[in-house]
Amino acid sequence: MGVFDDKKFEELDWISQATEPIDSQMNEVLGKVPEIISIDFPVYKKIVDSGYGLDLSLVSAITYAIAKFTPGSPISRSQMSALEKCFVLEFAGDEIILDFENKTISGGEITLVKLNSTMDEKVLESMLGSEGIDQLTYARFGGPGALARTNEVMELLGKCEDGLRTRSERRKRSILHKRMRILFKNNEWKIKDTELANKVGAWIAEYITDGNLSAFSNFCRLKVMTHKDQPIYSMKEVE
Amino acid sequence: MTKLLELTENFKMSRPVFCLQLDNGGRNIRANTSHPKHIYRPEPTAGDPLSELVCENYREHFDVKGGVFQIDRNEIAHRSMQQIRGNIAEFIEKNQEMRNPRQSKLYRWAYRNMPNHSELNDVLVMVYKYLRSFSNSDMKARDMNHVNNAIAILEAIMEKYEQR
Repeated sequence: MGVFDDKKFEELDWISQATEPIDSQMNEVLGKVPEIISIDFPVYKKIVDSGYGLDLSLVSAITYAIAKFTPGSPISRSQMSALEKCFVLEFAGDEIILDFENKTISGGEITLVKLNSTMDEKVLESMLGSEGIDQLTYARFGGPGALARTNEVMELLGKCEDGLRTRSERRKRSILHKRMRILFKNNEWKIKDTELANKVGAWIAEYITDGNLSAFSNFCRLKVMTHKDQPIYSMKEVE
Repeated sequence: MTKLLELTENFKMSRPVFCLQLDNGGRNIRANTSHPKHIYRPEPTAGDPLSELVCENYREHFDVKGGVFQIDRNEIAHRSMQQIRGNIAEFIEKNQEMRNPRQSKLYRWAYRNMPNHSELNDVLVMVYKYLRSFSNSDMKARDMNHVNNAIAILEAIMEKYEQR
């Protein structure tokens, strides 16, 4: 297998290769969570124990479900806000009583219902690269050689002439941000995997901040892969 | 404060049973811990101002980990004591026959400089009980014959505890 091959794309069935759906870890997570989860007293107690009060939020119920059915899948805040739209809490019964004396929930049933089994393509599209771009916000652009490295990144990204011309650290950062947002909004690089898209911003941030060469190498590899004008699902990364 | 603490001894707590409500289009379930299904509020002894005061200051909070309601008797007694101290200053302000009672030495002592220790607090509890025997709950005296006597008692207390 070559350095610039996309193993994940090659393993896709013909229909997926033809339709090019966006791949995301969230679809795997959603697939593993059952359609309906009954929330009885022990489950309710377990969920609220991690919070401060006795109220149960949809986010805490989803967090519980993910931890139970797909352990070891870290979910970021933006992923959680997307997942919130795929679940709802439901009551079956007129008056549901939470009884700590008898340790029961009576008068009906509480359920966490899954509304969708896969994430909406448009939602995934809007999430492409967003977490990586957020990491750029915290990157240090003021270190020794950071501005020169920013210029290298801008040259690879293209369409950053204003950023290359300016010597202002703040302006370079804002132009880089803007360019990244446009790049992912139009999906110019045809990245079809949310996790891979999020890595782009992280690689750039690492390279600009510390001069991390493996991060820069990954970024360059990805850029080379875009020349094929094919959807990109995965790449062989340098550790 | 001993008397106030004694009054809290028979306090019970609400049963931890809650009526759940679905809120925000299925995004939240509210248990409303401040309104349990079987709510307990202490009943004051009729005609006992101290009991009324302590019952008024009753607060319980729900311990999620333990699954029970809890009360802090010391906190209730302390809160009641603070109210007594405030009410004594209010009594002086409302009943002392002066153009500006707030300028009096007694009021300023009661409002600002009154020491806070158990011996004096126990005395103040009894004084409050006496004051309430001829005053309304807003500390306005119903019977003016007792006012001078009460002010004299408070002045004596001030002198005694100022010297220390």
